[in-house]
Amino acid sequence: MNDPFSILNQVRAPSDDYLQPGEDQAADDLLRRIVSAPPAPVSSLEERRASRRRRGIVILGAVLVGGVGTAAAATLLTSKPTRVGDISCYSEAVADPAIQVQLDATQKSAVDTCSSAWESGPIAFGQAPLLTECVVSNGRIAVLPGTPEVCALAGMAASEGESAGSGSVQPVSTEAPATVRRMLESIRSSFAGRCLSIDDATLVVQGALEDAGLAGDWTIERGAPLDEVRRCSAPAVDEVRRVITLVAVPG
Amino acid sequence: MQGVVPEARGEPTAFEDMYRTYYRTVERFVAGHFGHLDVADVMSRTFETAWRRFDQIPIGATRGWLIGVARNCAMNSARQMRRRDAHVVAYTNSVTRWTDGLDRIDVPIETRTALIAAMGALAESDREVLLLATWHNLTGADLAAALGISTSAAGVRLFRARQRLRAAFETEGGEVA
Repeated sequence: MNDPFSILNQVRAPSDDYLQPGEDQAADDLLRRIVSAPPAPVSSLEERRASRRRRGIVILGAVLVGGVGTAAAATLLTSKPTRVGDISCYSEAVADPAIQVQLDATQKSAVDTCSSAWESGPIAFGQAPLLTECVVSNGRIAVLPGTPEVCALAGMAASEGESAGSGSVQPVSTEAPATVRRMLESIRSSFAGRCLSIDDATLVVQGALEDAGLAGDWTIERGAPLDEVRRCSAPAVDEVRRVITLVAVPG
Repeated sequence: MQGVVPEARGEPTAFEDMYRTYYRTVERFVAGHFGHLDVADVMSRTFETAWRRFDQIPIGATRGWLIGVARNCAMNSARQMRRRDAHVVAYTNSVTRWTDGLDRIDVPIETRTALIAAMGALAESDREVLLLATWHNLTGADLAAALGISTSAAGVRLFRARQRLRAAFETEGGEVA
């Protein structure tokens, strides 16, 4: 038996052991402290209801802005947010995402604030993808997954606010190696102003990865499938996990 | 068995039962992969999140979900510490720990050497999914919950990582039977 994965499978961490009360004072103290905290301010049910209400509003917006968004992709509009008290974190780079979380603005950038919604819920429980700060027509900040082009594609303006220059909002990290920066620039230019199917988008990204010699290091994942409203694919880049997720955007 | 939560009236609540069942597993994961961070702080944040989201933990994938939250909490801590290489450090440390575990099984020295080199040659995203699937024995929904992606995406990611491991293993002189 020389399959490397089979060998790996023989080396396991110890299995789960039940932590008995009194066995670990620090663990018991932590448990007491956690369960004595007040419950979350908004129950998941209420949050889902609120999300549905918000979704009802933005679907209309999506119908109105869908065509405009595509045309605007070539000339990226920018705007300063005027209502900065709260931030909307979108689960998809569209005007009517499946999940839209309203969070109070904090000292952190809007992108960092929304990262937590991707990392520890309610949007997802994983590594946050590349996020971009956009400005909705009412002046509110919306944070969408993807590169700055997604703002126009979702019918919003790219933000000129202070948050736009910080954290993971940068489409290409200045710390990324030159090959990665070139690969990401290549992908961005390939998608600019185009409406690609999921298969064509996959080929574009694969080609860019292969050209940069990064095909073995990076992976491509597919987000929600395209539909009648979200007809185009757009790349959402996660430099930490080295994953490019193809997300559905209006076209 | 008596719980420590007063409301439990002598019996552990569902949350306490979950906490006690997986505390050591999560602690091992955090200390093993992110021992360079404040492990107690990561544990605290992880189970605080679990408390807030208790009704949203996927059924049948609690272990993977907790590991995924712990991983994200650790990455957040690392970001606050400006340790942008935390992910690389975490899984490099883990490979070291895992290779120590190879001593416990009967593997020819050439195979062991090739396997260690192959793991070292992989991208950290591949090492991560391989270690979660093997060392931490996460499969299916658990693996997906840990990675924060769909079950099918996790399967594809593991499959590709296995392919790349096999190729790297052969490149390093390992013989695949």
